[in-house]
Amino acid sequence: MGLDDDFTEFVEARWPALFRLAYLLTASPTAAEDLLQSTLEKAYVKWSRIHTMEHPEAYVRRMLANNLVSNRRRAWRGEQPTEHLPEIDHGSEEMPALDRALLWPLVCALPERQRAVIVLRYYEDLSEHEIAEALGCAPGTVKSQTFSAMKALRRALTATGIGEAVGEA
Amino acid sequence: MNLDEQLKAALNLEAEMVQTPIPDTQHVIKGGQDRRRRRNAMWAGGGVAAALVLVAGLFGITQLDGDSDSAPYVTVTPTGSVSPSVTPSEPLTFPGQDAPNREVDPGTYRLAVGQRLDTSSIEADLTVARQGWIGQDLPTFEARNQYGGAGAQQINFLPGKADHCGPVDASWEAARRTAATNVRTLADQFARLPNGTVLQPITDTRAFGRDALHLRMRIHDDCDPAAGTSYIVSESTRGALYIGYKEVSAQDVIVDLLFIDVDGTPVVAFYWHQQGVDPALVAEVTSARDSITFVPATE
Repeated sequence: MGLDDDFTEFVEARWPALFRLAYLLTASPTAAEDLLQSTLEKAYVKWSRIHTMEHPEAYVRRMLANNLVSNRRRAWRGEQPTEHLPEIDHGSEEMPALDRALLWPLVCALPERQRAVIVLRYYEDLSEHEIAEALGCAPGTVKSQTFSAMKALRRALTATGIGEAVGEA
Repeated sequence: MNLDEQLKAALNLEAEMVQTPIPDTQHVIKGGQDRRRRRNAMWAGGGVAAALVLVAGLFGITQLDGDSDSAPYVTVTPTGSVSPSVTPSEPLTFPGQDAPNREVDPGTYRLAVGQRLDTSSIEADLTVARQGWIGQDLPTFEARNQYGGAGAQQINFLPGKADHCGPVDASWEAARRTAATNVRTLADQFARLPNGTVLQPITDTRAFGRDALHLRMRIHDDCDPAAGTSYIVSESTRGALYIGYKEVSAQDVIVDLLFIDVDGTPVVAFYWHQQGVDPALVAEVTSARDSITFVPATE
């Protein structure tokens, strides 16, 4: 099998899983597709090396996160963490239970780097060290970003009056 | 269920719920091929600089290592005795302010440096060898959130002690010093930059086929990134040279400077990098600075 065939097979098999990660990282289907496209193009250039790895998908998943960081590096310099997350529209009386529809918008409202850290930790199950490696920063930065993100989420949940529902209030 | 568990569940559910588009694999492959082709083309286009690198290699010139502030300075002196293996294409231009964050491909880029006494433009070609450069007249290199840069600049002003943090505003302008119009005095001015420590004193050397002065400084950048400020090393008609790409307050930055005279106009060719960065980044910015060739006035 040639390298192009091997790459094609990889993309077609792993596209859905990679897209889902890109979507969580970017919080936007359109941005996710752009991020995944550019990441896979870079992976194609390096495919002769990547395809010999034991876990090529794991490597490409790290590339996704790193690509997101690289694309945003200058913007992040001036980024200010969100002090006040947006009010949540409870919608109906049936909202006391914390669910995806409530929590995901809060995650989306996090600053991009904090969201990336949360996604890599809770969706990818990466350790602090692995996240630091993927994002190209110090483990201490991951720790502080995680702390800030969780603090912001708890604050927003408390503001909605359901912090107690998750034992965090 | 605690928040950790809730997050895990919410993210997994959200990921499952999102509608996944169908991959256009051929489009991806074409994009990858284009990237590879551009990269190869840029390498070919950088033939002259590549030849200089080859010359450096033949003469056993080594790269400065990563964080060794006391490392001996080594300059690459173009000999003109080696012809490029391919005909160089026209140099590229950095996207500049139109797209200051755009990453550029490896290749040779033409920089606007300044102006001669006869008002003709001083330009220089600089070659970047790797992905990771952000295109500006004073290009910046980033790898894994570590920063450096290289370029050449005709200096108009240097920061004053009262305000060395950018952006250039009334306060910075009130504090700034006018740059000297001769090479040696200009080097002396740089040696007295606010928060600066001289790592290697001003010495005579050769660079870019000219007599030159070399100076290496460590600058303590205490500007506040949260306030959007960064240390400005110098200002020219082309803009200010910031060295503060960072997310935390206070960092040390190494600035390596070569002062040369271009047809009567003092010019500084430089590289800078955060202290403690990967040696590969230092090698990249050093190589970029040493690749500089000044465009003759008649061109």
